[in-house]
Formats: sequence, structure tokens, C-alpha cells
Amino acid sequence: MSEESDVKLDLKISWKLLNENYKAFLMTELFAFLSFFTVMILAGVIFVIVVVSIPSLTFSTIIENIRDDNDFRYSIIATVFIGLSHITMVGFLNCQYGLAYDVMSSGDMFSEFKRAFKYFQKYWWQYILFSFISVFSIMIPRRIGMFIEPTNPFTIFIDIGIITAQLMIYFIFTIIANGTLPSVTAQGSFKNSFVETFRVLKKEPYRVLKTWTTYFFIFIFPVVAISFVRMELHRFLGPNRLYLIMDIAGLLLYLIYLFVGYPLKTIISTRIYNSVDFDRFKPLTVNKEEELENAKKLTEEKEVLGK
Amino acid sequence: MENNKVVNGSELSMNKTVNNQEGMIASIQEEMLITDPEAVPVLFHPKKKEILTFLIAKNMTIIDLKHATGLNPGTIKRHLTDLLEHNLVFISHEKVNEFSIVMKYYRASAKTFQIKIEWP
Repeated sequence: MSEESDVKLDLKISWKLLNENYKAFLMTELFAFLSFFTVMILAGVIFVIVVVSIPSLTFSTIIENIRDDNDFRYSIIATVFIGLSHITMVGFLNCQYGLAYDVMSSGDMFSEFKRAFKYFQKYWWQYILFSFISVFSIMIPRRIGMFIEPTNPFTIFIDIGIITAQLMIYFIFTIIANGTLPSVTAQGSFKNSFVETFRVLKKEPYRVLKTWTTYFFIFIFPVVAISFVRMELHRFLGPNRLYLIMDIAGLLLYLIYLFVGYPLKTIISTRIYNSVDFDRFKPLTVNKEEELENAKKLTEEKEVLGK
Repeated sequence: MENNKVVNGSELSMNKTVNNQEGMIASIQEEMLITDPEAVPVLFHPKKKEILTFLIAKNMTIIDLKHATGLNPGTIKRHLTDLLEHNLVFISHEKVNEFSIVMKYYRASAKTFQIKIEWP
């Protein structure tokens, strides 16, 4: 089978599996969204308490500074706020790697929403860690870009450089995360999952690169492109009503990425992990309850057979 | 009856060939004697009975059972867990299809079930 047809198959089969199991994936996304708003509200409440307790601070100056992004301290506050909410949301979205495992590798060929919590309980720190890296690999270059003077004649080139760097970092991250997280779910060890990621890459580099490049152009590039065009238009044209349409379009594309692209990514990566023939690590028995249950059953059977 | 063995309160009338290796399909015994009182309500549960009837005929996955019974896969999974716990069904084999999806096949433990409960 050629690599090109493999890429096409990866997308086609993953789409079919997503359609068949959309309920579990959709519920996970809605819960992740809920967690995003909960963290935002909590952070907001803490922020209000801090502002109220410091008499020299006023809301109007803080809001103005955050909006203009002209004060590093306030920009950091905004980054932390948005960052924390995104980390929580993406962290929970990563449970979809567990759901994809249920569909593709458990043998049951389906998944349920409640299983997402089980996977989060098992692999929460791996999911949060990858969520942290993904969110900050996007946000930090963007925040750096905001401190460039709009009057600088090379601004557009600097922006292109930043966006390119951002895309490249995120692309490398996507390849590593999409190799590591299905592997963690399948065999349980975080350390071994990195080794397996590179084994997969070594075995079928073209397929992995082609699949994720295609995925990038379908789901991520449109979001980045519209945000870039909007940013540059704002620099050159100043305030304009057109931005509202662009913002709505950007938001819609981002939602398509979250609701369609993200679960598809988890299924594609699990499919790649399953279909590539490489030297795999033995799965660890992570769940102690399951281990105890199996041991108990074996003892019972031995006792009965021994009678 | 020959080669009788009791597993968790269920008496098997023939040796069961269970092979979970890929591609190997298990054969089932003709008759199974149920001595565990807790297995009786499981056997007579209408939905479980329906699932068991399909599994007596052939090896099936949860998705095959979903198409056959019209039940939700989650519900089928819970019924199968109960049936597995009482050794009324077993996982006959696992297969990886051409799309790299692992498929777990279930099968009834016997073609017919007989209940024999002694009390006290």
C-alpha cells in the first residue's frame, strides 16, 4: 500500500469512526468547554478580590492596559488567565486519546463519555503537561509579536517570521504529542512512549509527515491565516468593521478545529500507532484494581479446579 | 458426561477450547450445567438471553450485536460483563482488521444450558 493512500485512508477511516462515536467525543468537548469557562470565572473572581484588596488599583486602568497590550505586567496577567483556561480545556480534550484507544485498540470498537474521566484519572499529568506545552508554544510567540512597534517598517516580515516559527513549533509538537499520547494510553509508560514515538517516525517518516501536514492544512492553517490577515490589516488600516466578520470567521474555524479536528487527530494518531509495525514495549498494568481483580479470579479458579 | 469441570459454580460437560490468539476461533461445548444460583437471573434476563442466543449461533463483536439487537453498545457491554462474570460467555478471539482496529469476539460458553441447583 502506498504512503499516499495510507494518508487518505487515515483521514477517511478516522472520519468514519468519529461519526460512529460522535456522542462520546462531543460530550468530552462540551465538558472541556465547560471547564474552560469555569476556570475563567474562577480566575476572574480571584482577580476581582485582588483588585478590591489593593486600593491603588482601579478596574478601568487594568482593563485598558490589558486591551492595549502595552504593559508587560498586564499582558502577563491576560496570558496567564487565558493560558490557564486553555490548559484545563485542552487537558481534558486530551482524554479523547483514551476514547480513541477504546474505539481502535480495546477490541470493543466503541467508547462512552464516562470513560474520558477514567482516562483523565489515569493519565492526568501527561495530558496536562502536553496541554501546557501546546498552549504556550502558541501563546508566547504571539505575545512577543504584540510588543513590536506598529511603525516598524519590517513589522510584516517580523510577523511572518513569528507566525512561521509558531507554526513550525506547533507542527513539531503535534508530531511528538500525537505519537506520545496514543502510546501512553496503550502501554502506560511516559518514558517509553517517547521512545515509541521515535520508533514510529523512523519506521514510516513520510506517512507521519504527510498525514500531519495534510491535517495542518485542513484544520490549523486556516485559523492561523485568518488571524494573521486580521492582525496585519489592523496594523495598516486601523479600526474597521471588517474585523468583526473576520473575528467571527476565525472563531468558527477554531471551533471546527476543536470539535472536528481535535477528535479526528486523536483517532488518526491512534490508527498510525496501531498500524505501523515497530518494536513495541509491553503494556504496564496501570490499574491496580484490575490487577487485584485478575489475581483474585485466578486464585478462585485454581481453588475450584484443585478440589 | 465426560471431562466435567466446575468453574465458578458452572459445570461444563465438555472441554472448552479457548484460544485468545489472533485468528484462532474457539469451539463451544454442547451443554453447560449451571450450579451457581446467581447465574440463573442473568440467564433469564430478556436482553441477556437475546444476546446469548446470538452468541450461541456464532462469534460476534459488540458492534455486530448492536446491529443484531438494536441495543446501545454500552448496554451490550454491561450485559456481556455480567454474562462473562458467570462464565456464560467468553472472549473467543481477537482480530485486527485491515484498518488496524482490534475486534474482540464473544461466544456463548455452550449450545444449551441446564440448571441444577441443590438447596440447602
